Amino acid sequence: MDYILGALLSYLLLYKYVALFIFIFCAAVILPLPSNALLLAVGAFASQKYFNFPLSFGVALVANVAGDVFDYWLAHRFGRVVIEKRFKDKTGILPRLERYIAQHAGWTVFLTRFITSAGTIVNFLAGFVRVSLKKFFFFDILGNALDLGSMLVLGFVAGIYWEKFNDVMDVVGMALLFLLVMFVLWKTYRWKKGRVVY
Amino acid sequence: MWILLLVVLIVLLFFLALNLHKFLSFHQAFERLGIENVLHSGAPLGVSDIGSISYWMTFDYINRAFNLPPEYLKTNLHILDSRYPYLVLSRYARSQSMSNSALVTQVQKAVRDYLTTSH
Repeated sequence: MDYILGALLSYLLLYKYVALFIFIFCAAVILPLPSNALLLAVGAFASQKYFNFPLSFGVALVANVAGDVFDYWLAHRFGRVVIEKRFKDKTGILPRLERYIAQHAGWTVFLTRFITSAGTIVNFLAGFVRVSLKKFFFFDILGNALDLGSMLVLGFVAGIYWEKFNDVMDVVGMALLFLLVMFVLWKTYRWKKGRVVY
Repeated sequence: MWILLLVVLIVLLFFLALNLHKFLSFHQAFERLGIENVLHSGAPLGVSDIGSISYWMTFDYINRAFNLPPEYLKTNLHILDSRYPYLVLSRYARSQSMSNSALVTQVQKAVRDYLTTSH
């Protein structure tokens, strides 16, 4: 087990729900913390009655949604000012990106809840292109509830074998990220060929 | 463009192949797991689970997980630190100038002794 995860688990055991909230919030905002591993561990601790399952789910969900909305708000409030000041968009990619996100906002937000690194980027993009907060909030809660819930349940079922599940989830996460990259490349290819207009 | 997609696909397959052993060990663990863990959730861990004790755990967690008397490890391992049982094994090891593995071995032995003599 790597040193950082070990240290985070120690704080989780010492400070329980306060630590859970802080770690999940920070991971949702931008910090590259192993949130899936932490949730698996909390699920395992819940199976041993060291954590309360419903309370853990509630705390993790609130923390994750708060972190996502914080990113959304940052980009919504300061995104355009920063981008327009520092970059001149000669390619016209920004308006096209805006239209794409606006057309597929719901599904994009929902699906990227399952891919941590992509989720953070989409939070910023959604705020930048001014996706409605209500829509963002709804799909964010839905996606996070499913993602967090499944991690906690997996950890609960795995019990003391949760670290084996974590190894597999790391690989699955990387595979999903690669698939996402391929999807983006394919969409870019189609757009450049003029087969789709945004 | 297609070449780029092919390169990405090959890298992905290479990465998955490198990590195949994780899927195999997961499969073995999952077979052992079955439905038993769900049915017995909340039950104390036993002698066969002693290997799960790790340096990042606290004495309080170990006491609860293995259903040990709260003062057992403190007495058995002569722990004088006032933070017990809310004390992380790695921090205690550092304060005693011990390696993590040495302390974990001592804790595992103490837990095994209790479980084999009490049950």
